[in-house]
Amino acid sequence: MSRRVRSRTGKVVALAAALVAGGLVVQANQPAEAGVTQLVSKVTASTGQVISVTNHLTPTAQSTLKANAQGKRTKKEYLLVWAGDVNVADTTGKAIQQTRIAVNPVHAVNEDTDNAPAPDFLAVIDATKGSSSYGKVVNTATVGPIVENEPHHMQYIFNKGDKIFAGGLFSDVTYVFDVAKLPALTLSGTNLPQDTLCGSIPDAYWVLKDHTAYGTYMGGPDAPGPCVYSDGSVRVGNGFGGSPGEIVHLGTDGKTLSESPAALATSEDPVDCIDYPVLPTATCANPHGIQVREDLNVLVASDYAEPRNIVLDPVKPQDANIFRDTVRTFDIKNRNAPKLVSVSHMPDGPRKERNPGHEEPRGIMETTVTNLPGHKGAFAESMCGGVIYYTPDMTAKKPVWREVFDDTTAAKELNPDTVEGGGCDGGGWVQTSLDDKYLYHAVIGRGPGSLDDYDTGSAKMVYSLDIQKLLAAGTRTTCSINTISEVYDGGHEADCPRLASALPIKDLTSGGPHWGTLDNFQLGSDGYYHQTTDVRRIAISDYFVARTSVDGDHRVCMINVTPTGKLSLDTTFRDENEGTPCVDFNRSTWPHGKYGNAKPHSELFVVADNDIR
Amino acid sequence: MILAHPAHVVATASVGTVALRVLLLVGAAVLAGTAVSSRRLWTLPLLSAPVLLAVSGTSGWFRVSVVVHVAAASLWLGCVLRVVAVRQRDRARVVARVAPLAVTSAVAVAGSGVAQALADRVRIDGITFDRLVLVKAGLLVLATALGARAATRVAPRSLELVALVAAAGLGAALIAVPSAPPAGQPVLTAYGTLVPQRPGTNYLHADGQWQRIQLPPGRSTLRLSQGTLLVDTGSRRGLQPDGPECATALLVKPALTRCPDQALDPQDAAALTVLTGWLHRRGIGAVAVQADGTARSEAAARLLGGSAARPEALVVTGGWASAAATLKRLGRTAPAGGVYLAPWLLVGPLLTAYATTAPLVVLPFDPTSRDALRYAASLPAGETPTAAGYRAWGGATGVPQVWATSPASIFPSDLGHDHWSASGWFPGGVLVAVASGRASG
Repeated sequence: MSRRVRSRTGKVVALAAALVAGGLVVQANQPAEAGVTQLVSKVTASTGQVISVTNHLTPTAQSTLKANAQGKRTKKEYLLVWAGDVNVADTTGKAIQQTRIAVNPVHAVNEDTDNAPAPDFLAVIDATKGSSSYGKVVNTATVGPIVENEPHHMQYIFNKGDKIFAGGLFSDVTYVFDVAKLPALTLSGTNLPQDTLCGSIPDAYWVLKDHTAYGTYMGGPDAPGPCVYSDGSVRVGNGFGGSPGEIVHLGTDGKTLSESPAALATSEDPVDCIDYPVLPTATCANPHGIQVREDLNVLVASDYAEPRNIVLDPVKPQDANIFRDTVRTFDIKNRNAPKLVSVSHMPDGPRKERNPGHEEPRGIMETTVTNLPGHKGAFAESMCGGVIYYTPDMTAKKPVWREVFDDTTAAKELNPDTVEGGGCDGGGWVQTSLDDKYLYHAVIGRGPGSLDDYDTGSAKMVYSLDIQKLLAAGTRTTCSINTISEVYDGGHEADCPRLASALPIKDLTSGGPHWGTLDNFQLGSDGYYHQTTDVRRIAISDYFVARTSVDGDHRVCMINVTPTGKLSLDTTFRDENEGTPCVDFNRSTWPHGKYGNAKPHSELFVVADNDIR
Repeated sequence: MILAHPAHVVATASVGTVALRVLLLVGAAVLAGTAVSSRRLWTLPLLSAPVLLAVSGTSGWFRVSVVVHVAAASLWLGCVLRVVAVRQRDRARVVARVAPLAVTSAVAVAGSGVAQALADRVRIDGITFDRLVLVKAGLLVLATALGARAATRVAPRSLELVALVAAAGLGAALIAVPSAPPAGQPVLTAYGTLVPQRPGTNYLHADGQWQRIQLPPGRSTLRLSQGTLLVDTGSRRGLQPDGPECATALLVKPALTRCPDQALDPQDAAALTVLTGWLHRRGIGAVAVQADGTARSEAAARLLGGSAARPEALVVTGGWASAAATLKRLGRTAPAGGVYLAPWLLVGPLLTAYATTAPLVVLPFDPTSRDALRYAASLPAGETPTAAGYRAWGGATGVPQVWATSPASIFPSDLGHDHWSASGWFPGGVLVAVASGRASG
């Protein structure tokens, strides 16, 4: 090769190298995956603010929508997952130039300070059995402009015609989505803090047959002082995130139809019901879980804790009662005016914990109702106490609640050496099967050494209980965990629930499975989906947020369920990037961009109305 | 603004780290320089290896000078190594070939080195860092002299190579040695943020604690319980901060002429007026006003109409210290109508420490807005945004709103499931607008 040619070649190579380098820089700034198209839906909130949801549809989703538009509908089932951006960042080591823990992590995250915090979103995952895109995220619908919502729960189950009610725990916003055009979502409405002046911290929802919904607002009124509810009654609260919470009736457009008090008009026990600041009428009314039996005109809500003050050390005896021990029932004959009927304190069990915050009745997080006519029972579970409670008749003016199962009995199946099984085991989602045969429960568990050096930990698991004998006993039930041996052995009474299956969920972080949902759809021979009571799948989310670490187990898993209640992991539901079971929300790239890890908090099986018969 | 020079940040590199850095940098420089000095253009990108190693942690013009300095030094090294590596009889030919590149590189090294020394305020009678820089400069001068001598006599250049390698190694090791801080500016030190670093009253902020320190003019060594700190306050006295709040404003605006508590800002006055109107519409007419005798607080108290005999709510208008004392006295009790904080009391640690009083705060800006988040992100790590700092930074304001505040961690933290909110303005907490100056609440 001649010298001139070599010289020219060298210059060309140098130019090419420069172009490649420049292209890489430009590429690094591209916001979304290639091939993703956006579809925006907007509503105007009551304050005049425009709220939007932006769909980021992958080519798979686009193909489905195109086929639907052409009349060639492919019947699909999806898993919607309400997920939040990880606020404590995907920070790079280069960004951290000093050794002190940053009080202000925003600086560590945003080297380019024009970058706003990443949006929260609903992930649409293909949950169609046998589909070639099973387990793939086909759409991420990001909400805006409100960020750092802390996405929490949606309703427990989806029925044809329902909207999706999704709450932002910290933004005090409820988003209402329409799923008629799945895998795309549209926004039907929003509910802002100014729309629920008597409550804050929205937690969970129950959608009624008329497709409106009840929401539990765990925290107190936006501003301290007296608050007037929709029925004209007045309760005095201690402010945002405090007490008392309320029940909000929401329209399909997100509008507040009514706000109803969860607290009694008179004072509850001020020792049992600690409030910060102190209230003239003490209350434990901080409703978290909610389920309804419309045929019985009953709403059941479980009180978890005064949200504002959980940062306080619960070891101190006087503070343990911040974790509530109460369950409330409401008469909903007038759907728009739930009336408080009963406030029941869950009984203490036989365990004697070193930490009073770990006693059985502490932190009644969730509740679930029986489903079939003739059954009037309801269950509740304690998050800090780690047990299951039951009342055979939720319609009674004074329901009788008994402890019927200690999580320790299930934990020992997976680890016979467990020392403190139920206490502080982080029990969460609890749900009756739709045929009332089984009860499913997700337990975060604890890694060894979590409480102290001698802590053997407690199983991270999902378990199922056979509750048929318990329900069959009706009001004559005698099951009661009231002796210490029953903590480990299970209830001695014949009608006590029996462990049908305990599935360990491997999680090396200090988190574990918190939430779940039943798959109430089955594909029929007619090619359409049908709602069923024969549940063969449940989905659970492993959510973990550490204060100082950016790593976590943020996985959503599918669990197969046999007719006898046996649970097993569906290993065909795999992450599209890792190829391993469960969908991992710790990933760099989403259809909506390179925003890094996300926190999946709740999920729901949904099918478009046109595909349901 | 504060600091881009990495030497001012915690320099806690271990001996092993320094040794590794020296080896990597010098090795990369030798390889890259030797390749590029062959004048094959395709080898040019190899210079990125030592450059990338060297620029880590730098920014702005300083980064530009480092890029020039390291690239040029690598080329110079490579040229010398190329000459040393050939046989004696080929040396003259190779010298003639690489000499232009070597000389150009040496000039670039000298120029960028002088620029960096000026930026680092190197003095002949200076600190350890200064002396090491001078030693490095001496080695480069020696290398130049040896090179010139070898050029005329076509003699071995091994001594020149040794001097160059020694200079490169010393340069790489300088990361472990702190340079002098910029005089008269707020600075992030190994022991916290020092504001304003001027003669007189200063504040050192570390791990949430504020320490008031008196400093003389010019350079001095500050003896702390954690260790010693070299500071340089310059000669200009400037505004003396009267407390941590003023320090947070000086942090972002060293030219500030008045501390925030010395007058009631019209926008804060407007916000307090909105608060009063909102409370009246809620039926709360009787409020108690906490004030602490400062000009701002007294003006705010007059605007609010003074304290009522039987108050239903409390409005806090004092500074941080007096507000904290007031909230601490309240403990778990609070007036039924609530506790309301003046805009300047939006301080994360205050809200967290006294959450049991469930305070609300009225603000003339939106702490969740893009501008407010940009301000928060611009602060050094460890610094919490404040209303005073935001105003000094020049942040945008808007219609006043009343904001509810609440620490928010729903689950027990020992389960690792806490909903931890890392909002910059209120770490571990929630700020939610519950009423606007536009509409009634």
